[in-house]
Amino acid sequence: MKVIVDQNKCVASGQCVLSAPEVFDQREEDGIVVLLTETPPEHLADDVRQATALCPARVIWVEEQEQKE
Amino acid sequence: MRLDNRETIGFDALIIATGVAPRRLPDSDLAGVHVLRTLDDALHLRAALPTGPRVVVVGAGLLGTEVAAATRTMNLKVTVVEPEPVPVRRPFGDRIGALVGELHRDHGTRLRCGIPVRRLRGAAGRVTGADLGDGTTLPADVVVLALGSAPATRWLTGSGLRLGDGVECDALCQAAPGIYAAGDIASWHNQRFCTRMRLEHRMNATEQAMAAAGNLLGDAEPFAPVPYFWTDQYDTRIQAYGIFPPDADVRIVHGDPVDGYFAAAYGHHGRVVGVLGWNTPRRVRTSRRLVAERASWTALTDTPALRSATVN
Ligand SMILES: Cc1cc2nc3c(=O)[nH]c(=O)nc-3n(C[C@H](O)[C@H](O)[C@H](O)COP(=O)(O)OP(=O)(O)OC[C@H]3O[C@@H](n4cnc5c(N)ncnc54)[C@H](O)[C@@H]3O)c2cc1C
Ligand code: SF4
Repeated sequence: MKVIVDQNKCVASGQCVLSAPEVFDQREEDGIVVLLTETPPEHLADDVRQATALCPARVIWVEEQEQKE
Repeated sequence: MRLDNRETIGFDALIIATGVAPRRLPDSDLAGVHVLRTLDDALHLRAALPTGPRVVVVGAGLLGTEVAAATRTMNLKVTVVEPEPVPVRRPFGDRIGALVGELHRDHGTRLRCGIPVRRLRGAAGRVTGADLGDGTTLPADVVVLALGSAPATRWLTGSGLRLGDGVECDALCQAAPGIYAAGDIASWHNQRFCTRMRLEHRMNATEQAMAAAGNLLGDAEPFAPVPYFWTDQYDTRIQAYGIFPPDADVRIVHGDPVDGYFAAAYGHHGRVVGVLGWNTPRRVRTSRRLVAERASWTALTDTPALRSATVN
């Protein structure tokens, strides 16, 4: 999966970090989201989907990629 | 369930999520008087501001203070009237409420705390001012009523459901067999804090909706979140995890209010029940676990430098 965030609309709630700390962090000074990896490993996919659902500003999107054989 | 057009819809399971409706003052049906709940409300209010009106905000809760900050940032003359001695007293208590009051005064917003609005004045169907409890009248072209809201339960009258402060549910968000409630309207027993609560917070609407839907489908999982909400006022971002009872003990645990950034912890019955960050988004998130784990209040307050306890 590929993860996209919009830092301009992020409200610094940190919910994404609580859901998937390996994928998201926050800037120290203002708490705005920082994407640690655009293409997280498969075992973190559910955590990332949880972050997408919970983000109060709705600024996290995932592009699901076709499974390769 | 019967709709307004007399159509009837049967159901096997129901989730009630009708939210809350803003409170109004009696006789406030005047042009220039606004409430803020829907997108249309927001557009109407914004459309009334470019002419440079004198603004009076009734109520200094989270909504009233945010409206005041937003209108003040547009360089308007803004007065907030609140019967409590400090703003946002109910969500945050006296100490943080006083700091929010200072923040507003520093930005040139007038605060009239400790005084209720008695009634609005109007002429030819338009608001002209607000009569206050001390006998004075504040002239106003725009009045925003931010008096809180009441659960939208009227349509449930006679349904047999328990309607107290909202739709009363158990720990699973269930109001009756097959009937669940979520969001602003739902009062439920939060087992983590051993208390009934009803939250009007954005994150709770999402999380409780997911929990109620899951339980409706058979999860049988008590909904016991650490509540979270935030408020942005001027350039200050306040974020809060947990609950903030009025009789809680409050300690600054990081930074200093004088510097414009700090974190505070709230203790109640020997436990950390809430943490609040003032321009410290990352710090408050890492401190959330003190609330989630119901950390001992005395252990926290006995540690003079608790930086080590709050870094993740
Ligand atoms: C101006 C404003 C600012 C806010 N800012 C913040 C913030 O910064 N942070 C934060 O955490 N929270 C904030 N909130 C709170 C947050 O928006 C709410 O907690 C959240 O929207 C609640 O969601 P809900 O689905 O329970 O209710 P709502 O979003 O109110 O949805 C209820 C829906 O039910 C409909 N309805 C009502 N009665 C009936 C009926 N009889 N039949 C059918 N439909 C009906 C309503 O029209 C409405 O569409 C703010 C709220 C407002 C008004
Ligand atoms: S959950 Fe959304 S709003 Fe909150 S920090 Fe992450 S991206 Fe920003």
